[in-house]
Amino acid sequence: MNMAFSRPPHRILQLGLAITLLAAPAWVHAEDRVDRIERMLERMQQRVDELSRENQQLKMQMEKNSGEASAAETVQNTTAEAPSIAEESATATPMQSDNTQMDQLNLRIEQLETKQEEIATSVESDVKVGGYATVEYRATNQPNPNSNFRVRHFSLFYSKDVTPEWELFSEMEFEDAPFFESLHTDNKTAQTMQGKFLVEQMYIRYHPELDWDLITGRFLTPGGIWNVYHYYPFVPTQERPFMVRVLYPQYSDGLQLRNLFQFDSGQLESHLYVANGGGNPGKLDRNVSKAVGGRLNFAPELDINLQFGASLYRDNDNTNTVRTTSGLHMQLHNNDFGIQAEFARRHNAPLNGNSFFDVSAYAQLTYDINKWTVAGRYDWYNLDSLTPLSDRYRYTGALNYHFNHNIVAKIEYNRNRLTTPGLKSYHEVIAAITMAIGGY
Amino acid sequence: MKRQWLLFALLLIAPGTALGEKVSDIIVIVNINNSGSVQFATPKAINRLFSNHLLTWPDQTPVILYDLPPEHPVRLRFSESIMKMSASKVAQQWAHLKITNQATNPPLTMKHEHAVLRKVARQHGAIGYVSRNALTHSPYSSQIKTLYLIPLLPD
Repeated sequence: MNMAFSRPPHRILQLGLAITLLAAPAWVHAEDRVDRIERMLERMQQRVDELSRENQQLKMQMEKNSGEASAAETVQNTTAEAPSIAEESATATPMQSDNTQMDQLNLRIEQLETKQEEIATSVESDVKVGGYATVEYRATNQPNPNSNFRVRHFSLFYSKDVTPEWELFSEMEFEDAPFFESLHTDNKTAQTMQGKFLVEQMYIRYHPELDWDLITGRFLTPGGIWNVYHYYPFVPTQERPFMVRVLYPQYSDGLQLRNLFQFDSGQLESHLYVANGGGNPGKLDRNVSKAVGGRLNFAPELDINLQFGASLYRDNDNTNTVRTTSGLHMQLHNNDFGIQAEFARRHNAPLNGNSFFDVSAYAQLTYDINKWTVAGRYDWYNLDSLTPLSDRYRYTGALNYHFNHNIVAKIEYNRNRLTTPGLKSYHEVIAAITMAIGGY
Repeated sequence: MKRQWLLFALLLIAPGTALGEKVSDIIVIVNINNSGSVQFATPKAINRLFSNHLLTWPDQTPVILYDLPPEHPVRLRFSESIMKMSASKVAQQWAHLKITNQATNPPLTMKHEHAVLRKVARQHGAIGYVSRNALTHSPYSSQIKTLYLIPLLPD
């Protein structure tokens, strides 16, 4: 077992952990208070309902008694009035007492509900902490790596609505349990580096209306479906399709405008962005040109849940290669059946060299049976249109069990077929458990 | 010990207990002052509202959506009848949209029907769904109107 597990983590990880530990208890504590007040309200409301029913019964009894008393008065003299008044007082007292009690209870409920709303508002205005985690076991017939457990993902999301129009959103990913340590022999280098720590997203969002917003910072590049909608508790496989993070960059540092247009025939979503381009660090752009891109997604008004669209991305990257990716996507859900498919083709034009295409496509089917999901996917990637035998194929079968909507156990089988000479095809089985936290 | 486990198992599956629980008719509710909501009194229109295909009412008031927890029996029926998907699947889709920060106007999940009734009674643009029983006995019923009734399915 790796000795690294016994050594303290690096300060960056300590800071991230400290922030989580500081924010989470306050948020959880406030949630506990809201829960307790809600339970009290339920009990108070039940008591009010009981008293209301008793009150109703007493009223009916009084009316019956009044009716009998007035019928009796026609054959008796009026001296019965005094006892009648005494009788009415005797029957009125329990009802008046119940009415007062009910009024008091109603007032108490109102006070508690107001307090509950104040706490809920306070909770909502706190920094929201969420995330997801995945642990896997991988078995393969490849000689390297060995079959292994993998502490694959631990992602933390921090977001806050600073005002109703301004939001800060961030995602920090700790992949494969990062470990950095320096032996302090100099002040520049880490002696040991394992895993990956990445600020995958960090942006400021201005959203004065529901149907448009402007974000600036680091965001997931809006290309196709899986590049954005890839979070492991909500996708059926641990392996992502070949095209993801390849034909569109994983993320972009720049400015993005999102719009939502409502029509009678459906809803159109658009993304337009300008960014530094792939392969650049958060601090700078290593070349003078900027990447531009856009995505359209249309969801027609049909009885089935269908959406489809197209994406475009263009960049003159740090190797002086103009890369233009164009793609199509579609997604359909009908009752328990789902289809998702994407196609993308990238034209690569190096400054010195021959242009070529790389192309990829996948089609995925899912079927839900109660808490189970069965999935199958065909995936293909041609790395270089100028080079024969440069295709990769993956055939995937997967089974998911949903403990609830955000805790999933998965098992998948991947058959990877490589046509490139010298590369061997291989099989892989991955078992995983993944969960999301924080109100998702 | 065996008899106790058998009794427990029988109670679980017997009608009237947690797993055998039935709900009364389900009512989709809006605020009494929401006059523009009448044109949304169909399953398809309600589906559009809860799918974010419509974000405002005709008077431009923002739509505020209220859900119950995914395992709540009222939500199970609402999801089957209106969303045409299981409650768990709908919850997964919303969770995926929320975790990516792409959700435009996600529903707010209330733990109890009473809380949904209270919110709808107090917010002009709110829409939610509760059982008929809950609405009948609610002190807020005078501030709420029925948009659509989802009848109880026969056994």
